[in-house]
Amino acid sequence: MQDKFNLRPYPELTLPAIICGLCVGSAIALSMGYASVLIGFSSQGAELGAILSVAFLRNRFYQGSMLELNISQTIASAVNGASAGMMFTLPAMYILQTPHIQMLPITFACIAGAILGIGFIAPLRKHMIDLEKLPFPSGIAVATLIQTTKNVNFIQFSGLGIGMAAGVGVKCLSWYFATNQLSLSALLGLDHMVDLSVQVSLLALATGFLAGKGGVFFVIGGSIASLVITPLVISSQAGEPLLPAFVRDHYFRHLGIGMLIGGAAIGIIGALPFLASTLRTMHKEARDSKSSGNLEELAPRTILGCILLGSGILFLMMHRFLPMLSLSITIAYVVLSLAWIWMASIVLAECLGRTNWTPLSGMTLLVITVLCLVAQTSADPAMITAAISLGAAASVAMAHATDLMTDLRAGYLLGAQPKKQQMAQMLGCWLGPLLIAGLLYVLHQVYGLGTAAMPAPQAQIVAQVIEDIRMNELPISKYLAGAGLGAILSASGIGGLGILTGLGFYFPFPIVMSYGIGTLLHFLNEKFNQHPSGNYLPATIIASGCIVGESLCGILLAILDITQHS
Amino acid sequence: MPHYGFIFVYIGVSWAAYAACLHPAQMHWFHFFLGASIALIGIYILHGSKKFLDSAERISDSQQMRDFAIQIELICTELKLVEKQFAQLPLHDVAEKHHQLIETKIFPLRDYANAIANLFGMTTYSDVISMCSTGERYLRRSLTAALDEHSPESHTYLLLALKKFQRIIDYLNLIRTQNSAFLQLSFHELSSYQRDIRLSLNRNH
Repeated sequence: MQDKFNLRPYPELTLPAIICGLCVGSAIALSMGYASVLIGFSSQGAELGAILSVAFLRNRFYQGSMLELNISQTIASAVNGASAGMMFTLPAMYILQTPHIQMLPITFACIAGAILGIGFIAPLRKHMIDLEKLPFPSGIAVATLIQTTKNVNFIQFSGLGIGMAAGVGVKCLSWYFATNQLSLSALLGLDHMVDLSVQVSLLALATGFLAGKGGVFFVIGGSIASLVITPLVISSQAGEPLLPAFVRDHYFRHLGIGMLIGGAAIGIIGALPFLASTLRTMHKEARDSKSSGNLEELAPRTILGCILLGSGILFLMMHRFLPMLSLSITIAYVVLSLAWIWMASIVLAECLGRTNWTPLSGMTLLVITVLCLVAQTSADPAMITAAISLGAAASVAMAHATDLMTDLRAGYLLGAQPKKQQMAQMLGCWLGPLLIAGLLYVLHQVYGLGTAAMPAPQAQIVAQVIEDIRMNELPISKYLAGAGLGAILSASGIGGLGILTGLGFYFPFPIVMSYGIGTLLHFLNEKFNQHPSGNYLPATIIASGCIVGESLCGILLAILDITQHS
Repeated sequence: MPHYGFIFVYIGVSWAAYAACLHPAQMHWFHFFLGASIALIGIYILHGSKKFLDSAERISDSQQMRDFAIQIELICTELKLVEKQFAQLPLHDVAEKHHQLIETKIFPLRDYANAIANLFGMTTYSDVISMCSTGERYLRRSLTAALDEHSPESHTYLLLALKKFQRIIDYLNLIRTQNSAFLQLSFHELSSYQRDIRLSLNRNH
């Protein structure tokens, strides 16, 4: 019977939700951390967090509300926020055998990074979610998943089930046949010129479908890079012919990263008046809600406090690592890092909002590259340790910024209070770095990081880049050229043009192809299904199911791979 | 016209990117700058066509603002109706009504964003769209609470959503008196605006 006269306050940020979020998040963070050093796999874990929260908070013994599930999922993904950033960077210190590795200050730097990531992105919620209405496909998937736990209606329930089954089925097929791409170029006899393949992934397709027209420039960028420029570059090379994959890895990735940064810098400058009016509106609303005693977002003073706390911890860590630097230089180094974290967080959140993908590893690699270039001027080898540690902190900050925006988008669709979600993210962010630092220490003591038993593939790339810097083989001209092109594209005044085209240059073309098919399906759906909203249509629910199904299946298969390795 | 701009931009960017990728470590600067210049010409064409389209759009902006105001009035009326029947309706029916309202009336509000920005500037745009988003979020919370069978929360947030949308009407009335753009509507248009609202409300009832 319906409880129409329920006088208990509607539960949202409750103790069971917090405890459940911390426990679920710890389990996800440890498993993701282990998977990323062993097989280079990582996931944001938002969908997994939501599923596990449902299991713990909606059962015979406890009937939690949907907003409690949302809070638990937010905390779980906040705990997991550190796993990819730390595991992709810090093992490089062990691989390079850099001196002065002190895990405690590094852990605190990563916690500072997490606080900074949240502090920098929290004020942009209104801009990205309320005003720009960025889709954040993962956020839609999580919200749909949580709402379905109440069995909203048959279409929603069965649509999610069909989508999940399809996602799991396709992922299992690609795992069973040990291939994740269908090559069309081999069929056409063009495999030496273009990489015309499709990623066997319903997740990529569903993401393109949910992102809609926001991803068109991503597809255009990827198509230009792979279908136009790659054949031209290959045909113009004398000597041994290059392979399309080599051209992408050694030419386009640098250009793509440069385009992202140039595009973002001009985009931010262009959007400053808009950002200013958004902040004015926020300030006005904060004043109104303060007078009514109901603050909707974290108060500007609290956010400023978070940023100052994070900056302070980062400064202390830098001072401990590099006591030989003067105070003014250390401050300048920290200010530069903060500026980078702020800009990179906005770039990645916008990438995730529009396409559901972020170039997190590329941006982390770039920040480590810049810091190592600065560090190279000093003869002290401890500078490399400091550069990698700061890179890890920046990576954790970027991961938290993107994660918080996805969670806030899911929260928006469920009607959650942004302030409580921001508090939940804060409650979970400190635990991840502690757990991952402990895991890193144990794995290194037991197996040795960078060995055949624990290869840490992403960290090997970081170590390789640092070696390239030492040998002066860094393609700086490509980064600069990319930055110039990104700036030109952003100057067009079309939102996200530079960033999305750069992302298309950066990502492997098979993913862009699958995403493009999803975008095409979105347009067909819009044409034939004249519905004003996209959120609760059966097609949207099936797409959300595909994302959830494939993510969960990917994690399970990674665990299976790990047991086989063991 | 914008298509030509885009074609120039992408030909230029492709040319410059090709020049940048001729060798792993070096690049062909002359061709890079040539490509970048073509892209800049494309940007110039894009900006020119955007200005032209904006001036063409401006004619229909007033009309769009009128439609926006009618839409907000309709949302308020429907919310008042649900609020009146709240005690009698089962909670899953309340959720269904909210769901329909979000999909059919609130979701299309974002189509009017450009007209608001063009007519009244960024601050007004930011204020109005922000109020719409907050109202939508309150309504979604009311929907979620209704699905969770938590009647007091659902009712509280239904009232808050109603209040938020009513504030938009007040805000629009305020800028109508303060801003010349809204005053550009002739007497005839203003009376037809009021007549349209009355007709829509009657139809709704």
